[in-house]
Amino acid sequence: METNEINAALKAAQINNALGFFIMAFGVIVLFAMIFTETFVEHMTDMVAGLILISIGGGMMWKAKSTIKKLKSKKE
Amino acid sequence: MLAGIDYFIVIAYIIGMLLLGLYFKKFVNSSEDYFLGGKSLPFWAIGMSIVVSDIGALDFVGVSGQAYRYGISVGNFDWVGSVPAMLLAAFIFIPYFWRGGMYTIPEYLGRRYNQKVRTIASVTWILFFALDLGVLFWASAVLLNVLMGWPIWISIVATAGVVGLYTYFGGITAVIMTDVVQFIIMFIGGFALVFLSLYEVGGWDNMVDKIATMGPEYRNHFDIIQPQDTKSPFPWTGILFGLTFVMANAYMIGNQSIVQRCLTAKNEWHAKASMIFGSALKMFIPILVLFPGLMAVVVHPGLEDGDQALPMMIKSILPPGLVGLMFAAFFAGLMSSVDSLLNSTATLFTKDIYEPFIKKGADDKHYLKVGQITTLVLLLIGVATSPISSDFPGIYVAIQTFMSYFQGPIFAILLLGIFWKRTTEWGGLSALVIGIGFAIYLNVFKEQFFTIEDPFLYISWWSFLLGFIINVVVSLLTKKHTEEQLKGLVFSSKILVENKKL
Amino acid sequence: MFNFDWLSGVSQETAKMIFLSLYALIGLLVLLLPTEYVYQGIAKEDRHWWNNLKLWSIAVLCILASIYNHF
Repeated sequence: METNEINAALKAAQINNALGFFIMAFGVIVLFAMIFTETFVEHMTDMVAGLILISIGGGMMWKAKSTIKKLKSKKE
Repeated sequence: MLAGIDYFIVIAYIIGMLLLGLYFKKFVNSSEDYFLGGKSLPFWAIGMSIVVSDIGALDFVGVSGQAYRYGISVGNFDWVGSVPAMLLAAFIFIPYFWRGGMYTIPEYLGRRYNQKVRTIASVTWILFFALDLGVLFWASAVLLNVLMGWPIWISIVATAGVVGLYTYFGGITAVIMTDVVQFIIMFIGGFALVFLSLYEVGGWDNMVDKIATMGPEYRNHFDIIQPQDTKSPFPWTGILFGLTFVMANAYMIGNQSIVQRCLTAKNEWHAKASMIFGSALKMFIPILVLFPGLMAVVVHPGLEDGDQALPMMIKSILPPGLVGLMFAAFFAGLMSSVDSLLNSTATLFTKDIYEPFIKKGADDKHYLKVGQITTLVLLLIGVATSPISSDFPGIYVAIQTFMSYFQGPIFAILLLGIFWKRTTEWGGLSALVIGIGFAIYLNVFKEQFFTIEDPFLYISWWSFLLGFIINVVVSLLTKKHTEEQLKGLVFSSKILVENKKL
Repeated sequence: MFNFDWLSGVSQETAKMIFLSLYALIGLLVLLLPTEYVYQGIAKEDRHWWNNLKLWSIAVLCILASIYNHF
């Protein structure tokens, strides 16, 4: 891969990392909001929504981190 | 007013957006980075951004309200009103703009027709976008005022501060990536709302049965195709001619903020794929905004103002946490409309007005600075003009109506420009001017011409048709362009088979 | 003329068929595009069937047609 391409991929991975963190943080807040719910259905909705957000955000961060590691080693 | 955890979520969202936007500052080093994201973005982010920028918070509430009143036919706007146009854009128009290395649509019009057409199109857009900004600031302030209890002026300054900062520093990368976050949050909140509302009304079939027994005015609520003589603004003739053939195409092909997003793609495949992926996502939008409106017919029957349907459903159905998340997505919808307008207007001004007329051939850093300063100036104009909205409450609708006058004629000159070699500069110019004039005339005397309440679909079709005919007739009467002038600007079957750059 | 009253004789069912045939026509046009054109931008060795934008378009059109068929 050329340096330009590596830099572009690195940029994309850094962006995904930031987005992933943001989405995961929201997932944690929604999960935390479970303690304010009253009925079982509300409880489950917050839990499922929170877990989905955490897994999307976490997944994006994990993928981005591994890409960054790979690209940095290639650069050196 | 929101309280507790929901209040906290909206605040966290606003601060998070600001931080995220500022983080993108490190990716902006040239004017191409600022206006086209360094041509490095992936299709999925652009696709999500196209979908999100299309539904601001106002449309979100408006569509649910219309679904409450008119039923499922409102979904036509996201279904037939998107997919065919997005496929046409993906396979024919976007590759041309992409290969030509363009930044704006007026830039294409300038190369294909002449500088006058480019300037008219660009100046009109800049004026309307700038006016629209003030209206959107006001709408955001009212929303924050209702949700958080903040005074109007503090709300305006807060919105302008957050959106302004991330757009100023991050350019279009920040605009698109904040849209991605909004998309994910909106979809999760929206699906939770649909799921819980279905649970509340006892399932889909139960809801259909209940609505069917509610009276004759609900008889057509589940017909996507409305008869030609319907009382709703969506007869099938309007949907086919006005929406599918003209407005949808004008929106997806002739709208700077949409096309500019596609041009940020990392290669031609990603540019095309972003549109097609966007069209797939677009088909889910009615589920999120239309179904809650329909279910509100059962849960909250007899609402006087249909636009109350969605906020009421969110408050009565969603659990704490998700209420905040949905309202944060609402607010984000407004922010994304504002940031698109800011960035697109700055691009139009820098590329179509500043570069050709004020300072030609300056270095790239200079144009980057001009783009950023224009963003800042627009922000100030928006804040200063926002109180106009409170004095003239109908102004948002008025601006949207004015914008719709351009759709037909603009699409007519784009379509003929790209598909017909014989179209000339005078054909394009006269079609633009006469087409817009005709649309204004039809709208002023709409009671005399039309039987339906709000005939914007019909007006766009007839003004398109007239623009089209004028363009053909005048072009045939004037001197044709040389092959050299048209190189890379007119569609030929060669583009499909040859692999070379235009 | 402006109100399309000359189309008032067309029933809702026929109108629905017009929309469905429009989708079929678009699908056909998409299929006619050269495969090379829809892959443009991806290096020859990286092209897979899931990058084929024709398949994406046909899938989207099928979902769209089924919505209009159902309602």
